[in-house]
Amino acid sequence: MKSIYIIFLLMLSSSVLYCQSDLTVIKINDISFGTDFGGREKRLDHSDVGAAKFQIQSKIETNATITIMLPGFFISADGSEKIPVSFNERSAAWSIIDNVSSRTSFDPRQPLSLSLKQNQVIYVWIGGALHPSKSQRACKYSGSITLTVHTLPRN
Amino acid sequence: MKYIIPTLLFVLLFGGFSTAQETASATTTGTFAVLGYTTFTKLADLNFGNLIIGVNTTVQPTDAQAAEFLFNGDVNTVVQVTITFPSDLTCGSNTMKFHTISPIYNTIPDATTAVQFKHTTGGSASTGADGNLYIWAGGRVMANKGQAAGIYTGTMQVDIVQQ
Repeated sequence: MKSIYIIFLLMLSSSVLYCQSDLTVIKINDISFGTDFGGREKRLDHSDVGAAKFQIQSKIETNATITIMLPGFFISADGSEKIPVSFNERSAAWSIIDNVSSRTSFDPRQPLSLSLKQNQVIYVWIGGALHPSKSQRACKYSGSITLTVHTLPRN
Repeated sequence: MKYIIPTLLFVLLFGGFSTAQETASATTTGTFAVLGYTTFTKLADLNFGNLIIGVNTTVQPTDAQAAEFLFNGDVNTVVQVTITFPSDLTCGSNTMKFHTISPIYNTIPDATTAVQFKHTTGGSASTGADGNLYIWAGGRVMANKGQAAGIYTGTMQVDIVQQ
């Protein structure tokens, strides 16, 4: 009977271990290109206030791969109008410190591999460029960027 | 005891797998608003021509002498039009009373099929499929007996707010 009780306790602890998440990804800021007239390229650097900002933290030391799903267009609320969005090799940046000077630029179109130390926080910023046409209809446009972090055991 | 060791082994393995690989993600929503280009042009001044002393002279908004304006903004969009008429026309220190008549509007350059604004100071209207809105305004004046001869003028201001 005592053995069964111990088994029960161990199974309980195993389920607790399974439910705990060691990795968190939080969106800090939405990306905002502000307002402008059509026909003008609207460029947003990763260091601009309107850039998207994410925070990544792992409770354990691990290797991480960051992939970013980028929109091809920003779309009007009724879905009838589109503005092309572009990104280049310097549109995004990451840092372990929340400031501009320590950032390392990277291409958000390509996966980024990083080594995370225990409880280390990584910040990621993403900018981009919108290309509204001269005849672009005046209205609000939106698009989504999803940042996904996949961790693997460190060798 | 024979159950404890396999269970411990199971827990260690299971616990080890739980922290081996994980995936987490977050999404940001991006926004951008395109501003519309708008133009507003005076096409014609209001012209009463020569007045006869003691006789009312009226220019209807549909008349060729009426003031005409063209606004171009977003297509098929409601706008709020406010017209400020002069209370008097002036010629130096001499004045002549100006009386307002309800202005009219249309999305095409045709005053004869235009619609009257709700108020003499304007009201809401809608731009057409090409973003155009035409506005016409007239008025009424009378030169009183003893009115000094001269050219009397006044300023009419039209404000348009795109909703």
